[in-house]
Amino acid sequence: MGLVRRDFLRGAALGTLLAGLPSGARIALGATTGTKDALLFVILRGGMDGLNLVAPVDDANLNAARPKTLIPATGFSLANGLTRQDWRLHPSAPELQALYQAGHLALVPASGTPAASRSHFEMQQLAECGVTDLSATSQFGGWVGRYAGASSVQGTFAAMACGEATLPLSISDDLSALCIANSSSFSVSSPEKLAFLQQEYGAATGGGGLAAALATQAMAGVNAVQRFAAINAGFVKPAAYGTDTLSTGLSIAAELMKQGAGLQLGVFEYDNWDTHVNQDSRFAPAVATLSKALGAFWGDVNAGTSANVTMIVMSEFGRRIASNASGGTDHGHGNVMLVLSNAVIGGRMYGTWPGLAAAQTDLGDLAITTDARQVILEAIAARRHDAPANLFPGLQAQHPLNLFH
Amino acid sequence: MTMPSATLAYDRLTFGARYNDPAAPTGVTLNAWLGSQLTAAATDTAGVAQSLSAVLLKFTGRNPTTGDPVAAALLPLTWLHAGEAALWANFKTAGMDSAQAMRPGAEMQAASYVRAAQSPNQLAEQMVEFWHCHFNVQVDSHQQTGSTYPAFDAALRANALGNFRSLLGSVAKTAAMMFYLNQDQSTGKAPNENYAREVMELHTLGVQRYLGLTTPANAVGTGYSDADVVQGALILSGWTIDNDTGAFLFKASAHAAGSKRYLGHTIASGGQAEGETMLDILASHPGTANTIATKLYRRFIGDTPPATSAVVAAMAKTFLANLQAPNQIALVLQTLILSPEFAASTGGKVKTPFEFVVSLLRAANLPINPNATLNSLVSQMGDPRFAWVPPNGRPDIAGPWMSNGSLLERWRTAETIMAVGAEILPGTLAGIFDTLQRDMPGGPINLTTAAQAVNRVVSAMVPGAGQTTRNALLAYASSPHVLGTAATFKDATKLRAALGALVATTAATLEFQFRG
Repeated sequence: MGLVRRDFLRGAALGTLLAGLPSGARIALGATTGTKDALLFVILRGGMDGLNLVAPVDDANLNAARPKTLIPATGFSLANGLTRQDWRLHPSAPELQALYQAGHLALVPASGTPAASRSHFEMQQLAECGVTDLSATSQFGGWVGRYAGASSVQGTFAAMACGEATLPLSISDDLSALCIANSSSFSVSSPEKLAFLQQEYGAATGGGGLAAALATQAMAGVNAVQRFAAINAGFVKPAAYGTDTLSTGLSIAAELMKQGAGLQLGVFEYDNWDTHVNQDSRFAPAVATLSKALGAFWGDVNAGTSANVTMIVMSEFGRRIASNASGGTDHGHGNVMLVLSNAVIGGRMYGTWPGLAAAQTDLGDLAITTDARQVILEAIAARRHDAPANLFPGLQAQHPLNLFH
Repeated sequence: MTMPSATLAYDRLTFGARYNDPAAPTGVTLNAWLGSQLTAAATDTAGVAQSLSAVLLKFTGRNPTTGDPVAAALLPLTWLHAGEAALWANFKTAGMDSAQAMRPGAEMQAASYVRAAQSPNQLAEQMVEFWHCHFNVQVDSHQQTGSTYPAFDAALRANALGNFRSLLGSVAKTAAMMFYLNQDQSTGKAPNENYAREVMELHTLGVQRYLGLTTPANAVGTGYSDADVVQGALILSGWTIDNDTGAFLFKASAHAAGSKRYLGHTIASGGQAEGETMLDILASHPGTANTIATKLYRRFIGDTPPATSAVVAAMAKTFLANLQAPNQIALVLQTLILSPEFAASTGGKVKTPFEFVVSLLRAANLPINPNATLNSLVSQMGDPRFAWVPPNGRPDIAGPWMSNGSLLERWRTAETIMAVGAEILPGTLAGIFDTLQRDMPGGPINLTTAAQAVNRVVSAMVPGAGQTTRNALLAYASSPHVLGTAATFKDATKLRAALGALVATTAATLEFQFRG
């Protein structure tokens, strides 16, 4: 494939990472037998209010702190909560409730990136780079791209972001990753133009620098458009999907998987969660969109036979336990992660609930008891069998969650 | 002091080259050109005003009372220079006609293509774009943002090359920013921290000076903690918009009384003056100087400012030495332009989608019809015009814009713009099409081969292109679907289509993706 993926460890990061590691331990390959799941990472940008999605609704502290922005009384009861409380799911998420009940969906409350920041941009960068220190983000780059470089991820359609016009930071270092906004946009208008692009950019991928990086990324796209057109011919987005970008992206990913195009790593995003004001009227439709998209994808990709796919959904932070006077919530800390897979031991929650009493919080916000990176690492180890030993710099050894069969 | 090359200065400080532009600097005129660019105002020249007055932008309104659809019409741009009061009155009377409320914002989007492409004050327009990204306001986040966008844009233009404190203060008081970041409803009893946080994180000190949640009292001149966010929200409580007039209003009854502790300073209880002091502290903070200098480096020199950069330090020093100067920002830019780092920065900046489109419009050198098609094309590349959702503004680095999906989209966008059907450019053989038909300006029309067309289009659009690019363009142009058929040269309609396709393909060369 030529120079398409950056080295797992970029420049200065190398020394830092290798220090203290026994030789040969850089990439600890697990058993490589069995099929690898496609690993899909969904970023909910803006700070999804996890306490409004999944919470112990009878918690006195929660009810005292937020007169609004509570899960409505019609919320779905969830079995196997982290505490002996009345755990419920927002009523606008019937698809998620069904997936939970069927055992395909696991929930990890009180999880996130353990960094003392309430900034969208800082926390998104940290989550996408899999680090806890802003100064390390440019050093290590996005974690999906880093993992693509370390894993044996190969093929035209192996790594991609779907549904948006540009690559998210998490995968942007992977110069061969495809970026497919929708099924009609990823194309070249004529054979003459395709020949031109192949000639112009094919000759420019060497030599390093910005021009070579641009040409490399261009060529990944140029080389994929014909096959994508063939796969895409006659493709009709199943009616179960909505018209939002997340649904569009997931429908493309499902189609590629159904057609055996070799999708290994996918990144998706949905940016609609920064509910500082009037949350009750904005949150329900956003949850409905998310739930419908995930439900439609799951039905689509598993039509006929069980798909080898594991999806992890997270937001950069949760929102404050107390609501504000504008009927919204400000930036908080811990949140809930979603893990969707045929191999996950679903229908239950993982981790430890820290509680919502003042002394149990992180400065008034839900504390983080599970490092989000632990969830990702377990998914890679269990479902892709090639977790790099130090994929996430600074990740402390944790009790395994044992999310997977 | 290092003089850049005239070519780099022209390519990087403008929205792109125009072939045979009489206004382009040469080695001899560069000094005077830079001087005029650094002192020009970000206002419409007579030529730009004339172009804008010719624009008709589709409007699909509704009955303000019933909400019933009204027949669509092509209407001139009437809100571009409207004041706050008129814009607010339109917002208040639009009723069920949300398109009418948002019309001023739609007109600003359309006008921005014409202004960026045609203004002779290119550096000023570049800075207007810079400040739009820096003080990002999503035009369609609220009806109040869309309907007052011309007043917000005017605040940026008034100090595009001017004084940062003035700029910060006038932006803080616009309805667009107030509503976008929820400052309008922040009160002492129920402070909304959104603007108070972003004004430090994004507009002044920068997130790299965020000290986190629990820091001991921070010393003057260091960074900010969440305590400063909370205090800032209290300081600004009562800053809102008069619902009758749309003007800035300090509502004393909504202001939190008492003195505040902010960035290591004690601010005595003083009503609106507290907020002015807060902005004074922010605008004169060394962290702000560094933030602005770093962002200008990223805008005009390269994507990755070194941790210790001489030019960033020099710009920050100029910034702090001229806090009161009415041309503070121009002085900072002058420091940048005359730095060795700028002179050596060729190849360092990839065009954003908006810049790509405007550079193509400049190369085309034709009247522009900035219709809804043009606007949606730019959105599809991931760069929605004035409509970036989060307040950080679109990234000013190559990474996202060289995603292959975005590149494929921009190359097809070039084809759409150059094709007659989109009605963005006229279907005549004027402008660049006239250039391509002649050996030299004013010479006779003598275009008969694909090779001639390729030579001329390379000279006009990508003069630095090498043999690979020339060969690739010639292979493309020689196709029977482009210029490979003799009959094409004899049919004006066919020739316009074929040359349009060739120009679009030239816009897809590697060189054309770069700002010099």
